[in-house]
Amino acid sequence: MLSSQQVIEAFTQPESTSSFTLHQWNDLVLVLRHEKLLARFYLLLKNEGMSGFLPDNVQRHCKNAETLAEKQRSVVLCETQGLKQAIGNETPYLLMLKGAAYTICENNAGLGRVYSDIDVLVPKNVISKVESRLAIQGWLSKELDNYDEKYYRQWAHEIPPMQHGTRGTVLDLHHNMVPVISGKSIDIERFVAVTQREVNGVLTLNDSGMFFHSAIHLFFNDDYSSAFRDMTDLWLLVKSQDEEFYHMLFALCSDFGFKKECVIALYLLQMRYGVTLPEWVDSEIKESVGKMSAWEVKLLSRVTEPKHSLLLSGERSALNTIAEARGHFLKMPLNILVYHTGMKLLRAMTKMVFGKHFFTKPTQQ
Amino acid sequence: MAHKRILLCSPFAFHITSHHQSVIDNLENLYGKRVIQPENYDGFIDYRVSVTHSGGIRRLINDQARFQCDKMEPFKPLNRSQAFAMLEWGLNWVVAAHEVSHLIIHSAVLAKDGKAVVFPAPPGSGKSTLTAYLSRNGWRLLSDEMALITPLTSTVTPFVRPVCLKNDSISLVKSWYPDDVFSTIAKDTHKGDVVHMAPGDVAVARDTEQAEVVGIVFPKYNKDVFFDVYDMDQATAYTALAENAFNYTVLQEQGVKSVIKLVENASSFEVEYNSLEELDSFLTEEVLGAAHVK
Repeated sequence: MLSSQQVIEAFTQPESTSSFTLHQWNDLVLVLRHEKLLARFYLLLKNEGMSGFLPDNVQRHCKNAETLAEKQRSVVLCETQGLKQAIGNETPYLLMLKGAAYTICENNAGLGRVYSDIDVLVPKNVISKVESRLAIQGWLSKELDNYDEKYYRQWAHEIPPMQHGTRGTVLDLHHNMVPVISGKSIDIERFVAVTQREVNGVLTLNDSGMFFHSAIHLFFNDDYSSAFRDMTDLWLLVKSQDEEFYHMLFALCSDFGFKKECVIALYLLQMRYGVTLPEWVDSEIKESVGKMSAWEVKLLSRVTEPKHSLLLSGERSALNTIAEARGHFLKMPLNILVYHTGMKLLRAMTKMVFGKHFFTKPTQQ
Repeated sequence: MAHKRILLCSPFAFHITSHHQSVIDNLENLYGKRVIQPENYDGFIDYRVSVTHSGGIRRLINDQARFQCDKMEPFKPLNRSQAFAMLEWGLNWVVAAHEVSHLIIHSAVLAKDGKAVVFPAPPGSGKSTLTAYLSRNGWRLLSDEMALITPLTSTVTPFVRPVCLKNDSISLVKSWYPDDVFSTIAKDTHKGDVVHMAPGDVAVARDTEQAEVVGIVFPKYNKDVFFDVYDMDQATAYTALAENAFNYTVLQEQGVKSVIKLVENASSFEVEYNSLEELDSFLTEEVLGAAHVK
């Protein structure tokens, strides 16, 4: 059986896979396809000129993944142009975030990136204008149950996901990077002013801004289902950066907070992905991590690993639950959290008794 | 208890986990020797799929079947009695969603002497009844559901699976071939009542033998029409074929070129029929017979 570190090393030291048995290859394919990282793995290997030694079956699945990722890439580029046309005039800025932005910038993290949705940032005061404009263009809000709808509208940093009626693309419209309810949402106007850049006529964050956002998204959150993919994003973003990148990153932390999240990200990249950091960054991180609780760092290290029943470490479902609970505590003040947890618990219990799909609305037949 | 089996269904190997005994029974009944115990298999597994119970005590009251692959759940749960049909549809979905090394067309594929005809058709057109009939009358079944076309060629790879019979055709086909192997019935699915029929020994024995597509025939059963055939021009055939190609947009430029290639190298027809014998002789004499002229 493969260990999770072996899976990480398949990315950071592709030559380590040359001794894999067919069984190990098989497990790697199944784990990476599950983690939506097969295309990324293959493209990295190809860039190193090392894809030749892949067994035939592995090669076929890798090429399938590459084709699917390539399709997503062209969809993202096309949707971005469409969005610019549809809402570009309605908003002072329209900024692409995360996966879509990596692809547009053609930076490392765009390599083999697949998406479940396209993330966009606009100022809060134009959200409703933008939303109705999008509706005219065929983007419809996904049907949510009443509780989730309220959650988004009142407390979140984004509105409920919208989906295009014919193309099926899912759009997440953000007005901040962190939930309003956390009390830690950042001064987004100022943040955008210092981090934005234009690539091929499209606004995105600069490299430090992307890393900052990605670290928040991963470590100030309650969802670790794509955590391993997000770690590889961070790794690709930080790989081959110069000192300037780190100066900018730490400047963002002192202006907008979330130093802890960035430090954890850099620490894990150093420990598990073999990233070399400038000396002053290294000592800064050692000092900060030293002050954190050891179990928390360990927990985050574990839940950002690949998770699969075919790995020695398994699916880590118990640790995931703890990490989700941690995320909720971070994001919500206690009174809200108690209410939210109560509601979710009630619903979870209903699902336990009546089945997972109790709240799933049946399809019209 | 979770049962585990390997299904060797060329060109893919599936690892199947199921809580439902009915799934395993039907699987072994319909796929025969192609189903083996995991401990007897040492090769590569392409996909791990499962058909499991619904969670919670619902299981005790009104158990459902859930299909998953790579933690993806493409369908809402179905009634327990539909679990095996769900596995069949799930396997179709897995292949259609992932196998972009082939252009995949939603169609039946049957061949004679290495020359294949694809039958793309919407549900209700009588495609599966036609498949069942032809596959027992001198045609080799390559697939009832999907044509796996090598991009930019006319080569089709068999994916030999059970034939999915619906509603009235169930008793009809059972009366024609009482000695064939059928699954238990899945009642009231979104397609109505469904029974799967084993593909037959010849099809399975030759399940790695590719064929060349020489005909594209859009069939439509009509009880009032004995047999009518309409030539289809290439542009119309292209549009109709593209509509039935699951992954043609994913393949982008290559997808478009592949559909063009396929249409250019085959003759295309629309047929309306109530006589399967007449359709069979048209296919054999006109479609296959004319193929060498092209």
